[in-house]
Amino acid sequence: MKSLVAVVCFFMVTLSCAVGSYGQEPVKPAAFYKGKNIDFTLNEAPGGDADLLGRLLGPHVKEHTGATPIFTNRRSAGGVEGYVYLSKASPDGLTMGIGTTLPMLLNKITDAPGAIYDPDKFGYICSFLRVRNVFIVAANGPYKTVADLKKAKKLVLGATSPQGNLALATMSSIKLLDLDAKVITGTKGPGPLLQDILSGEIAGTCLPMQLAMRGIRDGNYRALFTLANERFSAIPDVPSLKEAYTIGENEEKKELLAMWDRNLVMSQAIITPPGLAKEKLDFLREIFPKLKGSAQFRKDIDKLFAFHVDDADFLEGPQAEKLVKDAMTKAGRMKSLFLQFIKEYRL
Amino acid sequence: MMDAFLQGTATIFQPMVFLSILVGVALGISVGVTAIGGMVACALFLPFVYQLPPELALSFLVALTSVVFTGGSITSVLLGVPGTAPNAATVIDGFPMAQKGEAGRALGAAIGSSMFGGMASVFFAIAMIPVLKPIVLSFRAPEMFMVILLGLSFLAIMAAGSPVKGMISGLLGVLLALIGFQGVSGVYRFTYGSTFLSDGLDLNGVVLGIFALTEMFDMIVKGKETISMEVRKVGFKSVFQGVKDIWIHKWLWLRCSVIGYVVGIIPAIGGNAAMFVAYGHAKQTSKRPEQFGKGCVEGVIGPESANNASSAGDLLTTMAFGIPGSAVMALLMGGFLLVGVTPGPVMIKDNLPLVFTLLIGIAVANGIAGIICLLIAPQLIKISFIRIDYLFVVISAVVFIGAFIGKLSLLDLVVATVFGVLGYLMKRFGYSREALLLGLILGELFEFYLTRSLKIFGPTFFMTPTSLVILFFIIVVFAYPWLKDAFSRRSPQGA
Repeated sequence: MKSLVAVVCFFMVTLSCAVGSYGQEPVKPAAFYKGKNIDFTLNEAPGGDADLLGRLLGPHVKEHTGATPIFTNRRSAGGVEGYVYLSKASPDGLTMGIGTTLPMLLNKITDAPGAIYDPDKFGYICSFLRVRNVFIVAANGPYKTVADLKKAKKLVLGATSPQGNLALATMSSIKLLDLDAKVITGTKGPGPLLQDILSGEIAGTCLPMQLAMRGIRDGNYRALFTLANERFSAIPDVPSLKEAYTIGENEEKKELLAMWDRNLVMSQAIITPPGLAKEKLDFLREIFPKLKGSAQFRKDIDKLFAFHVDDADFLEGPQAEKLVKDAMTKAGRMKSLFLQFIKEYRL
Repeated sequence: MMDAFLQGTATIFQPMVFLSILVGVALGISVGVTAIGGMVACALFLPFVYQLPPELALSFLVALTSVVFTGGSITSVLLGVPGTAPNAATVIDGFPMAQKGEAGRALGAAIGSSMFGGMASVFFAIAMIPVLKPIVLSFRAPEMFMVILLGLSFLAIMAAGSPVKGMISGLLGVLLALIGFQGVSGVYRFTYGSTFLSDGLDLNGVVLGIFALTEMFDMIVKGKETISMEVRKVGFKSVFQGVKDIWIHKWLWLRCSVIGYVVGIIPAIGGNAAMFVAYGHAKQTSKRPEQFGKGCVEGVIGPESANNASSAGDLLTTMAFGIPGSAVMALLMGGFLLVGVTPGPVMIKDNLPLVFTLLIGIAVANGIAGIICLLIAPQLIKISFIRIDYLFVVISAVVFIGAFIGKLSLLDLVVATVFGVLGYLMKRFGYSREALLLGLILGELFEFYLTRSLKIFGPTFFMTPTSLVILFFIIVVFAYPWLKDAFSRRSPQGA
C-alpha cells in the first residue's frame, strides 16, 4: 500500500511540475549567461598566440555575454590535451576554448598520440587571424631569392615538432621547389628557431606570418615567398610561391599548394564541445563577430600581431566550420603525403 | 646612450612607475613564497595591465617576475620548500642551517645574495648591450651542447662524497628526462599513451616533492617537533650575520652572479641550470666542501646570487632579439606586444630609454625586495619554531598548490608525492637529490643538442673556437682538485 502511495505521489509531483512549466518561455541564451562563469580553455602555453588572444577576449566576452571567462591553459602534447578536454566536455554553453586550427587538424591527420577528438564535430563560434605560412631566411644570408635556394646544396632547414605545422610546411616547400634540403626538427618553439636562422645554424624555415612579421620588419629576416597562391596584404612585396616559382603541370604539387592555400590555413578558432544546442551556438555566433567592430579590440590584436588584421581574416562560425570540414575531407590524402615527407625530408 | 640611460633612470622615479614597481615587488615576493611561480602570476595579471602605459605595465611585470626568486628563497630556507624551481639548490644548505638554529643567518645570506646578485646583473646587462648580439649568436647547437656538458660536469662535484651513488642519481635524472616527446626523432618515449607524460615531467612537481616533501617526511620520521631544535634569540643580528657572510665570500658571490647572468643570456638554459652550476662552483672552490649539504653558508650564497642574476640576462636577450629565452619571458614578451612595444633590435635602437627603465627597474625591484625581506626576516624566523604538526598542513598545501598550478593537473600531485618518497629514500641511503635534479634538468637538453650537433655538424662538431673554450673549462672542472692540491703543495715551499 505504502509503495502504491509513493508511486502516486511521484506521478502527482511530476505532473504538477510539467503543468507548472507549461507555457513558460525557455530561458533565453542572453539571460542564461548573465552572472555565470565560462570554462575557457586556452590550447597553448602562456605567451602563445591563442593564449594571449584568449586573454584579450576576456573583457569583451564578459561585456557581451554577461558571463566571466575563467581561463585554463590545457596545452600538453601540442594542445591535444585541450581539444580532448573540449571534445569530452558537456555541451552546456559554458564550456569553450580557443585554439589554433592548424595544429588541431594536423595532430588529428597525422594520428598524434592521444588525439581522440574529431575536429569536424566541434561547434565553431568564429575564428580570428586567418594567416598562412611564409618562408624566411636570414636577411644578411646568402639566399636572396627562391633561385638562390634552388641552387644551394644540402640545405639544412629547421622546424619544431616533426608532425607540426612548421615542419610540414617547410617539408612541403622542399617538395614544391625541389630543393636539395632536409629539415632538422625538434626545436623548442618558434623563438629558438628564429635564433637558429640568425646564428646560421639553419638556412630557413616556414613560419605563420604573425610569428615572422616582427623579424621581417626589424630587418633580421627576409621572406622569400608565402606558401600560398596569393600574396598577403600585410607583406605585399613578398611573392606567393605560385609567383616565385613555376610549378608547371605537376598535379601532385598543384594539389599540395592548394591544400596549404585553402585547407591548411592557420586561424585562432573559438570552439565549443560537440552537440551544443543550436540556439546557444547561434547566440554565441552573433556575439563574437561583434568584436570585429570593436575599435579597441582591433587595436589590441594589431599590436599583438604586429600587422593590421583585415576584416577578411575574421571568419564567422559557419565559415570557420567549413574550413575545418573541408580540410578533414582531405585528411587521408594529407596523411599519406605528410608521412612520406617526414620519411623523406627529416634530417 | 648616456641620455637614454638618464632618461630611463628618471622614469623609474616617476611616482606611478615607482608605485607599480612596489606593487610588483609585493606580489612577486608573495608569489615566490607561495610557490605559485612567476609565469602563472604574469599570466594572471597580464589582462589587467595591458591597457596601462608601457613604462607602468612593463615595470610592474618585470618587477613581479624578477623578485619571485627572492620570495622563493625564504621558504627554501625556513621550510625546505623551494618557492620556485631555481630556488631548489638553496634548500640543500639553507634548510639544514635553519634546522641548526641558523635560520636568520641563512635568510640574511639568501636574501642578501639574491638582492645584490639581481642588482649586479643589471650592471652586467648594461655593459653587455653593445656586445650581446655576437655573443648570443655564437651559441649554436655545438656550443650549447658544451655548456650543458659543463653543467653536467658538476655532477662529479655534487657527488664528491660518494661518486658511484652520485652518478647513479645523476643518471636516474637523465633517464627521467627522457620521458615524453622527442622532437628530433618524433618519438614518444615512456609515455604509455598518456597525454600528461607527453611533455615530460613537470619540474615544479618534481622539485617540490624531492625537496619539500622529503624534508617533511624526514622530520616526521625522526620525530622532530619543530624545524629548528635550537631556540636562539631571534633578531636582526643573526640576519646581518648572513649579510656579512656575503661580504666575507664576496668573490664567490661575484663569480656566481656572473655565472647566473651568463647562463641567463643563453636562451633555453636559464635559472634552473644556473643555480646548480653556481652551487657546484661554490662547493668546488670552498675550503670546506665536506660541509656542503650540512648547512654551509656558501651553499646558500652561490645559487641565490645566480638565480636572481639570470633575470636581467634573460630579459635583455628577449628585448634585444625579440626571442624569449624562457617560458616566463615568452609571456612577458606577450605583455610587451600588448602594450605596443615590440622587442627586438629596433627596441634597442629606438626605445633605449625604456630598455634602461626596465633593466634599472630590475635593480630597484631587487633592492626593494631585499630590504623588505631583510626587515621582516626576524619575524619570519619564528616559523622555524612552530610545531611541525601545524606546519605540515601549510607545507603540504603550498607543495600541492605549487605542483598543481603549473599544468592544472591532479597527476602532478602524484608526481610530487612519488618524488617526495623517492627523495626520502635517496636521503636515507645517501644518494644525491641535487644530482638527480641536475640530470633531470640538463638530460633532455644534453640529448637534444648532442643529436642536433651530430646531425648538422657531424662528429667533429665541437671543433669551433667557442666550444673549445668551454671544453677547456670542463677540463678545469675535472682537474680542479688536482690543480688545487698542486698549488697548495707548491705555496708553502714558495713561502
